[in-house]
Amino acid sequence: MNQPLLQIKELKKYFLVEKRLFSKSGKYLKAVDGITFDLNPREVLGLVGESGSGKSTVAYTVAGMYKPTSGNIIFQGHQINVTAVKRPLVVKKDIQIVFQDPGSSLNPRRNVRQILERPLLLYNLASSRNVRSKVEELLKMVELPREYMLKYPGEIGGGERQLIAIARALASQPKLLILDEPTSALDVSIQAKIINTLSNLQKEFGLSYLFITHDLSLMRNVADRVAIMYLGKILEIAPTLDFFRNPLHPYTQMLLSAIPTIKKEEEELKPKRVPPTGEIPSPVNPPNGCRFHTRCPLKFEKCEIDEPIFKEVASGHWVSCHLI
Amino acid sequence: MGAMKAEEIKVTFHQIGHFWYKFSRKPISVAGLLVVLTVIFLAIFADWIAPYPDHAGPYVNLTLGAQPPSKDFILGTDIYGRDIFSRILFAFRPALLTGIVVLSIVVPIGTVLGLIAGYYSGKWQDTIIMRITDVFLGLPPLILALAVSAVLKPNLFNSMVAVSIAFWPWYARMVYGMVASLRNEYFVISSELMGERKTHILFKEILPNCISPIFTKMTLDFGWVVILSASLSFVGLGEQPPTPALGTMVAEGSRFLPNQWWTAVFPAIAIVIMVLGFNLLGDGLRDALASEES
Amino acid sequence: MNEPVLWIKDLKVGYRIYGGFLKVIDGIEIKVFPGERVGLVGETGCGKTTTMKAALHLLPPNGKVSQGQIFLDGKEVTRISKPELRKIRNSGIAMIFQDPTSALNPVFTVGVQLIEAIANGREGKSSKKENFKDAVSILEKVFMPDPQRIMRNFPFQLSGGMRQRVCIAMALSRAKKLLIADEPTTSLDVTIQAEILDLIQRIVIENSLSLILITHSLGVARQMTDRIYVMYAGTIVETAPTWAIYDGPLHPYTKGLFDSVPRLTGEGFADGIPGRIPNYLNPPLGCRFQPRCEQSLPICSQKKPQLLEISKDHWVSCFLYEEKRGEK
Repeated sequence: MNQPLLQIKELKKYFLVEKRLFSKSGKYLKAVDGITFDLNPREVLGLVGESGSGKSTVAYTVAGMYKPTSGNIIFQGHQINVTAVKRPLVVKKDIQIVFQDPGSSLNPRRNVRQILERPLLLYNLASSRNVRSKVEELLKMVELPREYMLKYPGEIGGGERQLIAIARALASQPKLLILDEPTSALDVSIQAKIINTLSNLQKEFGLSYLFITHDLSLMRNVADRVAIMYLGKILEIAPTLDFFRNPLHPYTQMLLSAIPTIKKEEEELKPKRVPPTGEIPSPVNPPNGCRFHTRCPLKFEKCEIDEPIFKEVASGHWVSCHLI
Repeated sequence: MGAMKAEEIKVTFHQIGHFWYKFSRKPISVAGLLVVLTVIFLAIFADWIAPYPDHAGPYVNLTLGAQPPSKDFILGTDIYGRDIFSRILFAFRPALLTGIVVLSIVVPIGTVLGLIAGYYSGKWQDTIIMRITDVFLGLPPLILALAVSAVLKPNLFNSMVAVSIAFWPWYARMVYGMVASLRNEYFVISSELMGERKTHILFKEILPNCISPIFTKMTLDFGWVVILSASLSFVGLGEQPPTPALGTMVAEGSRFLPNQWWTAVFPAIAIVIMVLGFNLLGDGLRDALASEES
Repeated sequence: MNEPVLWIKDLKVGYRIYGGFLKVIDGIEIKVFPGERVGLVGETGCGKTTTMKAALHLLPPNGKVSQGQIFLDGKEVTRISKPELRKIRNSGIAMIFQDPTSALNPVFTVGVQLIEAIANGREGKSSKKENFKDAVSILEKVFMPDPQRIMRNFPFQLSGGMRQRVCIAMALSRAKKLLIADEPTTSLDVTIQAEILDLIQRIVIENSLSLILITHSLGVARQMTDRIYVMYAGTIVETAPTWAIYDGPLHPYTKGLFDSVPRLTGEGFADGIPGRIPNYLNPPLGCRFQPRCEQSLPICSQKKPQLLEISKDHWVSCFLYEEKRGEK
């Protein structure tokens, strides 16, 4: 039982941007450029990053929307380096994803009952006779009234739609739930309910979450471990408390120092303000050496030439930086 | 259990009622609907409504030939002495039949092809299907229908075949456009990731989102089908005499313009009313369905 | 001489739609004094953008100011003619919008758009050379790297942060009294957001502008404002100096909001606020927050609460506090 649920080894995902006629080579967008991490059972791993970091690409590749360019995805000991359609049904059932936009992740022409029935019937978790009562149970699980079965997505609010999307994902009783910015499109008063519901369900069913967001304050309250990505690489990964109390990578410090907070006590927890320099480079032409050196206030010569090694510097705390 | 089903039926009725409310906001759409319903009614009950039902068959009475509109013959008689009004009522039948048959063939075939090509957009299924479609779209519908009809024996059934061949690519293209954009929506991707079969995704997830535009187009196309088939019968390639067809009646009567104008004009007006009815109905449907989306 | 730069008095705004009239803004009062930085905080659909659009006459054709007055710099502008409107627009108020991509015309270069903004803001004519020089210097003021090259770029060639800088530059060329920023950093990354907020802060201080910052982020509002107006469903439920609100929010909605925000201290957060914003076609007759309020009294559904001063300069619109005041 010590085996991690999910092992990602040197995962790369490149997208072809330009192709020269009659030639194999072309320009690639290196969305994910060699990342390695584990996700344990009953664990919430937060994946944090700004635009272009590749965090969504990681989510989609693990979910099976993309085939990895290279590297390994190992789920429960088995390699699954293919798209979802080629994976065995039991793996499809065990890995589920909730997307960011509640507007387009539910079919507008299907009512809630029809939407929630699908996974139950598909994975043989209900027969056509008892599927309706199972749908009622799902609604109860996300604390929505039974009457919602008849509603169409257009008739319910964004937060409630996300709850339906979550119910649909959990209907198959998965082991791993991937959440791609599940509340970024929602107001904070609704986000709170969704996140608390997700937390409760995670503890109740012993699920693992791969939780992707750009909101560090949210991450602080939700994740057991946090990994920070930049231009396709993981720069730092650590247990949550360590990550926020003792951030080692300059980029982590920069991000943390920029978070808007609402209480004085929070301000005292932030690292000193590190003003960033320059713009985020494009993933089509990532900088040589350390990816972050073009914006790093602490860079020196080595950073422009050599890529730093990702190494463990404290228990469970890994960093990729020449300064450490 | 039964209670939920009853609830769902209630919801459906409510949706229909809501839709009717929106549709009826535009009186002219309701007028279109009434025209269509009237034409259908007249066609079905022509045997009983027409004052001279046997004039719709092999009847000749040259003494009554080419009579202007009168008390006995509301719209006058044609050159063979047949009551134009009665013949128009019977002529609605092949017109409506053509519309129904053609659309029943063209819409399913075009839709399925469009679904497949759109779903596999960018892959070989798309290329093959849409290139063939493009070839057919490049030919003007009337010319195509005429060419096909000329090759086959001239009768009603073959004229339907000809019109169908001219029409199917329009549905394939329209559905293709809708599906190609829909297939990247997250609810479709979710279904794929869950492992749904392709048939389920195409027909149960994507198709329901295309139904409204397809339905609207069908109604508007009915008018086109009527015109196309009337054009074919105008040149003698459709329903053969003595069975009345609107195009044939216009053709026969056109030889006697402008003196015995009623022999050509009234059948032509009948075509116009029929097509107008379907067009207004189709417009009304489109408006009512569009406002739903907002 | 302490006249407000902007004074919105008892404003009611609605939209005519198929099926009725959306009574969105239900009698609000906002005052912005010279040099003051005001935050308008509220969630989606509360009407903050509608309020600003009404103040600047930017409402769509079906929008209507059904009651109230708007004063810009002491002059009433609630119902004015088109030529008057043009004069007002040149009177030194500028606005930055949430999405810099759609605020900029994609078919013109940055330079062309910036120069147009500058030229329009002037009285009378000016030479091409003058305008170009001014445009470059404004880009420098917003810390745009390599301003001459940026002038030749199209918006799609710039990143989101740089586009927002261009929008700020365009606003700066016009803003002599008041800058309105409507969710200026919502679509930007955290690090870029911090830079842009810093930039807005600097510009406001250096040019002695007043600022109205519209946002749904309590963190951003705390950083950038002196005074906060909390809006819910077209009403102001609470207003006070920023430190006072963050020290102790009073209105149940404000409290609910604060309790729902995730904190860096990691103490978890409440379950949010149950329910949804009211239907503006048939809004509640009493307090608009009452259907979602766990502390509501019987009177809350019958009468509308007024904005009353509960402690020094801390105003709340809630019957819970009216009672308390009465008891004193």
